[in-house]
Amino acid sequence: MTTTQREDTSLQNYTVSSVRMEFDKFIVPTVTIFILLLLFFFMLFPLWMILKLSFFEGGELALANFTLNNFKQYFTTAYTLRSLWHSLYVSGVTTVIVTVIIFFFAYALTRTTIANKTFFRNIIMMPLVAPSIVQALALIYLFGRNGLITSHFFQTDWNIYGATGIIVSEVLYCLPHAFVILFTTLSAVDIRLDEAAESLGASPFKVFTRITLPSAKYGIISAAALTFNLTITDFGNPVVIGGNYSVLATEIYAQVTNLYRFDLGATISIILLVPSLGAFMLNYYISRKSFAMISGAARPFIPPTRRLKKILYSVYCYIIAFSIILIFATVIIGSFVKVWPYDWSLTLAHYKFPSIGGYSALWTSLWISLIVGIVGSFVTLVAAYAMETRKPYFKQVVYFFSVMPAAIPGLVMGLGFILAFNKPYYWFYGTPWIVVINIVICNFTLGILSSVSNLKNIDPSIEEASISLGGDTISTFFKIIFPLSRVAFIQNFTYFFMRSMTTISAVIFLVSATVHLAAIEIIMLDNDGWTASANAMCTCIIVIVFVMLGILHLVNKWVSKTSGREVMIES
Amino acid sequence: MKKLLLTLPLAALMIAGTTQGVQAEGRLTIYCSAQGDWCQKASETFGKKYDIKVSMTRNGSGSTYAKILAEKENPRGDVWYGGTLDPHSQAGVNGLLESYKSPNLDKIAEPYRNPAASKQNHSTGVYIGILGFSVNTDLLKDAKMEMPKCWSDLIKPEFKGKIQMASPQSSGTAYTALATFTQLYGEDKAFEYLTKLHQNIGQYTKSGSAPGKNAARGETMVGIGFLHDHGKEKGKGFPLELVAPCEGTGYEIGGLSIIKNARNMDNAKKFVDWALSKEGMEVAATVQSFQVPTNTEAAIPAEAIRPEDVNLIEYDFVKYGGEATRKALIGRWVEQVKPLER
Repeated sequence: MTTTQREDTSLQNYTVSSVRMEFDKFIVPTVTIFILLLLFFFMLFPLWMILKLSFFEGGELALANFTLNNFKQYFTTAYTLRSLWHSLYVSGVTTVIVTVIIFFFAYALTRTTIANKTFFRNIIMMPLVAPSIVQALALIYLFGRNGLITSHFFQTDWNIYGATGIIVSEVLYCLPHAFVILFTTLSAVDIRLDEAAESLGASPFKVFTRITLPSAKYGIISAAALTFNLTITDFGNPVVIGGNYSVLATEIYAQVTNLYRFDLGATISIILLVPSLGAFMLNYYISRKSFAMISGAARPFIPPTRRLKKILYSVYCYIIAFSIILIFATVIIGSFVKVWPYDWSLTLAHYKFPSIGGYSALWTSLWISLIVGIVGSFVTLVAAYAMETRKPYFKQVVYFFSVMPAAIPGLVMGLGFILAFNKPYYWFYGTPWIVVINIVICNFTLGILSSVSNLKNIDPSIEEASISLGGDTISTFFKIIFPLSRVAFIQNFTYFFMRSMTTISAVIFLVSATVHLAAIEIIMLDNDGWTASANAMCTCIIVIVFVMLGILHLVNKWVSKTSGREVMIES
Repeated sequence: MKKLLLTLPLAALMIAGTTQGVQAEGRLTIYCSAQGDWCQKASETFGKKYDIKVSMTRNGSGSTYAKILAEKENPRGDVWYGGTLDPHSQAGVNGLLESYKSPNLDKIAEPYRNPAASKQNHSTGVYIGILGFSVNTDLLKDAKMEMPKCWSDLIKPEFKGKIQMASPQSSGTAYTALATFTQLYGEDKAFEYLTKLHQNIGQYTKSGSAPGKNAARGETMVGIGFLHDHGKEKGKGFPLELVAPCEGTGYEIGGLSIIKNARNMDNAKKFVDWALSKEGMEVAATVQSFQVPTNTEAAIPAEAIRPEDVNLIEYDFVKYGGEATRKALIGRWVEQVKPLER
């Protein structure tokens, strides 16, 4: 509704003619073109290089060079082909498990009257503050060949390496992502339907299968698609716990860093792109549809839950929360004990990092993340503003390219960056700047989507007032839009910062002798067998992210308190 | 005003970023294939002494070779420190390295002055390390098994899943093992052995030093690798017994080379001179890396396993450092051994 209204009013805006408006006509297309160029150069160009290298001999674009040899080699070599089946299997199983677990978890939080809901909501989000490797590190300490539980409590030879380990760690990693979707869905669906069915005499089971499940089906599919996408593109967990069980992501890494077969790496990237793109498209298509499902009359009231049901759901939620806490506790405790699980005396020795990255890697990560946070949230806000309120000619094109990064696995983007920019004349290659650009591009989608939805909430009349009082686009943006979206800006900043501190797959190809990043150091330390120090590095990242979240929480509070007043004064 | 407030910190961050970025004066980039803490200690000590900003990245010698090859047109590293000699040899033969005769060369024991296949002073030996395996004695006791003494013990069925070795694709250590078996048994017999060994391998690690650390922590019962890496873990108090196999075993020469067209050539030479000096060699022992240094003036750590105390094979560094042999052996392993079901 608001969009159509705005379209009308914004047309009127342009009738206010002045020199300033002329300038206006110039600035919006400039911004739009800038965003488009940014995405073309830093997203499509690297992707194009990958495509070129996998389909053309030596990456030289010519008809005579066209070849399917790389694909042939991939599909006819048993041990590389295996990684495809492994990936599909692991992601498939993870998807089913996560969807089922999270559905009931979200159900418990939205439809029952169990206690401690805030606690559960906070705990389930915890995996977001750590790199997607923390799960694997903890599981090895608990269930590895010398795990606390496997070999010390039960003294069995069984261990978690391989497919089982990848699946369990991916499940724990994907929980928050799937939760956000299903929680939103289940809170939005009208509970009165369930009540009506129940009062008409339907059994609880029938209500569940005929009403509850179907009404949440888009959310379920969307959560499943997202989980599948996250799992198949994840690199950190499989590389640590997979053992000899290779998946597509680890195979790309092995081809590129062990053998420097960039052509095969590019080829496997294309193969990985197919299922991840598919899952993304499904998710995108579904999430557009699901908004239509949300009824305006949805009611937050939850009828009291039967005692037994309540106890069961409480226990269920505690088990899941406990598993997540166990993961974090294991890694953190593991970083402080001398020799897990032999010698439990406390030590800080593991915090003396045995690699040159060490603490400098942490600082590099920190300031890179600050820049990513500022640049990322600013660029996405400007792009969303230009797109949403000014309706440039190619809005649809910009929008399409803006959501595209979410479909591209970080690892593939990183490989594309090497192929595209490892030339002496790209000065930013080999500097931290390429890392900044890569992370901003990889997380562009969510930044854009949240900025757009936030801008939709700003009353267009404030903006119109500014314009009719003679404010041009730039001053309107800085004096009206920016202050009003400061809360969203901080949210975006938080998101970009967190992603930047914790991402592994996007930047693993971009670290070098001069740029060390903390999240990558974890993998390097673990590769060389410094597992306890890997845990220590992981703990440092978690602490930094938590401190930042605390700071941003305070800032957020302060901003939301003051922003209203300040806007009044300035406009 | 708002704009200014926002752009100021941004600009400050950007300046902070660029100063950490480029510039290439008084700098040195080391590609290190020795143990992580050694690499770091060496980089720091050298950097401090000569006031040079040292960047270092650690990777297995196999991966480092591949990296230098990939960066041939636009070299990003200056000097390649440590790791088995074979990949160094191959890089020399393929024209990726700079010839350099350090003035400190006369202090190096004769066989290690110019050991690489090219014979053009591309690489110098900095240390000698002996291949073998180490056994976690706690796990051995729990399983009531006997201490393995020979390579042939490792293919007994009771070791199924209990052995770790690095992957020859990424690790020079594992390639040394491949070459050692080939020289011990002849190629075909060696692959028969590797096929049987494969059945007992729990995991092929990426890094050559990982199996020793994992054996120390009990993640695996047996770890194959260089014994000096394992001695380090033993020194920390882990229940580890080091075995130099009875049939005889191979050894490594740690390589040190300058990368061709290095951007910081003078500093690279300075580093090589330093690394070959008594002082440079003795850094290793300070981080409990107990290789035997090749500088005859440098002290041999008491914990080091000396070549004269074990049964060593006549390791042919020229043949096994050659590209053809290396490619053939690793290729055969990847095709015939790696894909086998266990």
